[in-house]
Amino acid sequence: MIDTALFLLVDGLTNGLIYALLALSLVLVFTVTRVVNIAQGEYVMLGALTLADLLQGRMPGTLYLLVGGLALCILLDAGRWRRNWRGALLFSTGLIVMAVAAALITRMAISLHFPVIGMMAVALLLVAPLGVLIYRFTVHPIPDASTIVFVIISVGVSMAVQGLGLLIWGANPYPVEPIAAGGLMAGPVFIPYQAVAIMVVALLSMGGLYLFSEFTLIGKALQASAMNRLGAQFCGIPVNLAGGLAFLLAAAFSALSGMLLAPLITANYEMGFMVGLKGFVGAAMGGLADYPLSLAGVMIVGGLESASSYLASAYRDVLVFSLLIPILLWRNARQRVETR
Amino acid sequence: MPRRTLLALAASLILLGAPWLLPPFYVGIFAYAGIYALAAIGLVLLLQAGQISLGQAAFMGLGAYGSALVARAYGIDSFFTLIFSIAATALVAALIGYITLRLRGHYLPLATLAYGIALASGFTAWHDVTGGASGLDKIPPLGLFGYALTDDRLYTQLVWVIVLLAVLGLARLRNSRVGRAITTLESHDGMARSFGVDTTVLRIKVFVFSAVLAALAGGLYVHLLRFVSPSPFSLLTSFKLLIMAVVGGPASAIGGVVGALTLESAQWALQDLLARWGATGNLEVIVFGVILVVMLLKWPQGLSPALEKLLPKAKARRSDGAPLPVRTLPADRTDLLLELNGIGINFGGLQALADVDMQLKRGEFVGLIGPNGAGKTTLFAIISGLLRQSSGTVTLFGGKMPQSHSIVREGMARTFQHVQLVPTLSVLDNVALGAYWRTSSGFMRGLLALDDAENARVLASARAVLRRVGLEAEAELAAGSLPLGKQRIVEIARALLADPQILLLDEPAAGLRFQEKLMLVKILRQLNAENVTILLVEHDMELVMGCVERLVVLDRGRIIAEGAPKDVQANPAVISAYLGGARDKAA
Repeated sequence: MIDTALFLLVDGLTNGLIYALLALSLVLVFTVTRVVNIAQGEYVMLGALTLADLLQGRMPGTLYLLVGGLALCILLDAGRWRRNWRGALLFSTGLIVMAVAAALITRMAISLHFPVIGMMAVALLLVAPLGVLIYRFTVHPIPDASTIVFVIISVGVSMAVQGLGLLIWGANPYPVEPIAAGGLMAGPVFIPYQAVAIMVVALLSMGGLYLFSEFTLIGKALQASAMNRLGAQFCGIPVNLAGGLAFLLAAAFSALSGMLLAPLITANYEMGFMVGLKGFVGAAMGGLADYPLSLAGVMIVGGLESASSYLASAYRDVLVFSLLIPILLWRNARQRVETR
Repeated sequence: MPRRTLLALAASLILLGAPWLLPPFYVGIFAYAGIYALAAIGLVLLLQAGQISLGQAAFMGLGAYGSALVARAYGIDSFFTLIFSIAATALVAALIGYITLRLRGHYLPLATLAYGIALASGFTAWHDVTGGASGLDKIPPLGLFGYALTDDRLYTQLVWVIVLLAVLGLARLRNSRVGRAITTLESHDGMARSFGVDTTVLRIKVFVFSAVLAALAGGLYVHLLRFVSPSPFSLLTSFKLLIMAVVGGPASAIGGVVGALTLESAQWALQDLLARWGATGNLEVIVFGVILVVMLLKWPQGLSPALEKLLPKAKARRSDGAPLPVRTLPADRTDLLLELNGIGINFGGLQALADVDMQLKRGEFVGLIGPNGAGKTTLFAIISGLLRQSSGTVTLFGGKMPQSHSIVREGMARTFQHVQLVPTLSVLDNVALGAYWRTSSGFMRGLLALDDAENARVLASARAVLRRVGLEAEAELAAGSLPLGKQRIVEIARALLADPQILLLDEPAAGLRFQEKLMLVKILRQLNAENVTILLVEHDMELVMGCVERLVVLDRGRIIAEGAPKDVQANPAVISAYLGGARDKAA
């Protein structure tokens, strides 16, 4: 009994930390750009499948997405050639160099048989820029649109990216090697090394983001844009760069969580969406804006998920997503206290 | 008959006749397109109110399972089980709306997404009752008193009759009292409340009605297919419905129909094409996703505005009713209407107002002045119930402050410093919102067009007010197309239509031209002569000095002077507040 409880605790903690990386991404994107990003989970899928490809020695399909995206970026910039051809030339050369560099690095990683951690870094290099591209395509053109519009757009992005995942990788699941196989016995419970890796990476990411936003100028600019977009703009902070940066970091965190999660459940084209939504349920506890409360939220989600897969596995998703109701009731009560 | 009506009739006839002309295979597709159109119309209404649902298909599912399971298990006529399941869905929607729509911020998309998944997984998980993922067959057809509707063509026609009724109803609703209020929900919450709209309740009503349409669509779906399984009610369907609403456009309910027909045809064409290329799986979602993004980036209003341009204009609405009854104000000028005692408010560390005491007697014309940032607009927000003070009490008409949406009922109306008109709505409709509390037709009456007589009276009164402020010629223009000065006058007209005892004006003359200012002064004097009490915030000193009988001067959140305009003008504290401590600095 105690063993089971401990096992579920470890399991719940692992799940919770995976979702924590998602919640982190969601809060980051929402606070800086006001986008409720339904598509955030797709980076989880992209990260996991890219890693799967790299580890099996294939050129990952993500490369096509990246190259295609960069090409579209150059196309959208076409209007600049007439006004400022030097700038446009510089810009498109830069993007082409980026695309070539990405392809070369990937090639090299595959032929040199990088270790899992090295491959993860290459995968991050391929997936994270996709976040910026999507920002460029969907948010940058309409900075003052309403939250509703952004929500609907992110639904479209999610559908398109998931469909592209299906087109590239097909419907079959891919196995992914863990960072380290095996595990350790902590008293009566077996803790897989992958779970330890998840904890370490999640804590490092959260700590890293904290240090970045508190102690670097760019981080502070990001915080400023999150608090007051217009004010930040008046202070000379390029809010579009801040938005792009938020999308970049968020894509990186989510892709990372996908790479950590994949060894536990195998990777497939529709794995990301649900992970993203569970991150949302947790982040709703903090109103999508509060990091510590979101962390508490995802831990509850993770715990409830492990407990329910043990006790009533058919109802797992019903229970996890119904958790939003007590969370919202709690926020209702809080709001009333605030306004009194 | 006007050409627009003729065209609408012709289009309806085509849609209703189509099931009899199409080959059998396409009849089914046409029926499902109608069913999706119905659910999409619900989303269109929701979008009009600035809300969104990512779980519309789950409501379809509730309607479908509720009706199918009860009809199958108990052999009750499916007409009654359908009504039962719609009512049950409405109840669930009301509960979800109640806990999400009162929250600030955008919880509705998340909440609808979450229950969308929870319900869809629930249909699968509750295997013993729902048949799980493989579903249940032998669902009875739609029937009433032993008669069963098994003819597909007749069924398709029934579906489209319902769709057309929904379009017609929502078109009527848009021009009704409640319809006008719905347009304010997206970005003018405070304004709507100060004209008597209980915005939270209205949001919940809209959400419930949109769920009802979805449940009806789900019920029609399941009694047509006569088989129920979870997959048609999954998230993908919710997303497809959303695309239909966006592609068709939120401007009118027809958008739902246009969107459903477009998307269903596109889906069949794409699937056909993809199958020919040998692709497997739902690859068409890539195209759908891209369509959704591109539509919102390039044509956020969807296809229906383009359609609207091709159509002849709608005929002018009836505005020939007798004007609404007006209250007669007593001439007793000793009556204390508004009393502020020790009002204070903090925003974080900033003390915006401190210890403000003020009284307003009936028939008084008081000016509230002060430098920028003195707290005038904050004080207005507290008086009109949109902000709650941190300390002190407000006594209005001798009683406690009512809720913000009841204040106009007691007899206080206001204008806003930052113009709060619905830009897409006509000037006449914007003004008509002022009469919201003076009329009573609700959601259902608007939908069924039972409010015609009352609406004609409202529009007649609105026209009369516009005539009074000299904007009659602009009545049918979109409010957003007027220059700012005229928009301010529209704001005043709307406040006048609320038939106030106290009128709060927040910088009404800013941006007005000289002639317009003269007219404003004339109207204000006239109103004051009719015993309307006026509290005016204004920076145009000449205007203020020329009309008010008493001045209150606010500086840095405190009242620094009060009295007749002449005395205040000579008050050294006031002079230093306006010109700074040292006179030479200002010069």
